[in-house]
Amino acid sequence: MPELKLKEIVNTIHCNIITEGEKDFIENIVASSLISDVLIVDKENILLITNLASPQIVRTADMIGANMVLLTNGKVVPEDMHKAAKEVKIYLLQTDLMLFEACYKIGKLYFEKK
Amino acid sequence: MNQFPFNPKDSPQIIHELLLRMKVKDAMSRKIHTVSKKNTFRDVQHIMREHKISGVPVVEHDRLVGIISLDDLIRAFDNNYVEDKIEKYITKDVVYLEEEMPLAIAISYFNKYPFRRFPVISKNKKLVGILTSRDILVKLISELDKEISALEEKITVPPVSIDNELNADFLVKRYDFENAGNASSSVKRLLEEKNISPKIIRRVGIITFELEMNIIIHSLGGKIIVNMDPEKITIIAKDRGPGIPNIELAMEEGFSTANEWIRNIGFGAGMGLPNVKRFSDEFEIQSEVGKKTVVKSIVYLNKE
Repeated sequence: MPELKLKEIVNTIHCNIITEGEKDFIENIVASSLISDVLIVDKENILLITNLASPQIVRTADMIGANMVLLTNGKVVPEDMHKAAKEVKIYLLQTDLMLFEACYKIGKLYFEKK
Repeated sequence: MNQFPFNPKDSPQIIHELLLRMKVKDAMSRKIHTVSKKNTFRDVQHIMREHKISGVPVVEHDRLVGIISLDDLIRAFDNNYVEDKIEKYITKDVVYLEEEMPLAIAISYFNKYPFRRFPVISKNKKLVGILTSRDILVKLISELDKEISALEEKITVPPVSIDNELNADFLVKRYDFENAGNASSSVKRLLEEKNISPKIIRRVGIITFELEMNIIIHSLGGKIIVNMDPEKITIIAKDRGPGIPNIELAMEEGFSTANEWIRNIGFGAGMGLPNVKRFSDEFEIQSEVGKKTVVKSIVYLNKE
């Protein structure tokens, strides 16, 4: 399974690191803006790419065992979302790229490794 | 009889404490309608009718000098002195409460005397209010409401557990999106402390989260109970209603009754219950319209 390091992701899309997490690598990528769809995922060490700016998406990420959440579309991280990410100790990243662009750039990096 | 509906001494500790903590002045009504000695029984009758009260204190320079009750008024009618001044008929030794007395003492007055209301006077003997048993009950209920809310806040702290056993329950409130996921997060942390495999934790986490969201979105409020023994983890979600009309339909993927704003924040895709079933080793649901819904999910620890 390909592994992406946080550093590689940051260097590729130049995103902001909002909170620090415990694990700085990922093996799987999920992109969704529907919590119910995220909860169906049965994989490990996930990067969740989403345009949903809410504390619930962070908690959802925590439940599926995600290591990182990337918030796209230049959305500002709300205070409660920031707090939730700190609490569950996962990396919260934020980028001005749109959801599709972020997926494309990270996807390219990921599938080239495969 | 005019007994107060319960005895504070035999009541739960909290009621006993509240009645000692709260003063007469916290519960009394400060809107008082009074008469002077020079008024007639007819005047008293008008005041009682207008304000729908059954007792009127008599004052002189702000000092309480007596009280005219409905009984006194009826007696005046019976004996034909309704047009008389009340002066010579008022009882001098009127029973009153002091504003700094605890409510527990006030209740003992209601049991000791046949009166339904007591005038309340301040330290410097001025009439400042009137207290009925209704005032006490209203105040007590509103204080209990505050106390219970405070207790509920504390409930989400899971109890300490030993080794490979776990026993935790969490209160989940309707539409409480702010705390949505707190119960599931706590369960996850507890299981991590017990070195359960990440795969099992993920399954239990997702099940708990889906059930927690279901209670928040669809029910009137309820509870999540998580038990663990050496063999399995059992997750039970119980709510207070309103029940599911068609369980078969609710178990279908894509079926949802969630409204627009819930969908807007990323929920309500109709995957909840089917997903719970997918991650469970055993799954059970009981529901009926107008009754509570109970979902039971079991995840075995050694069944990979």
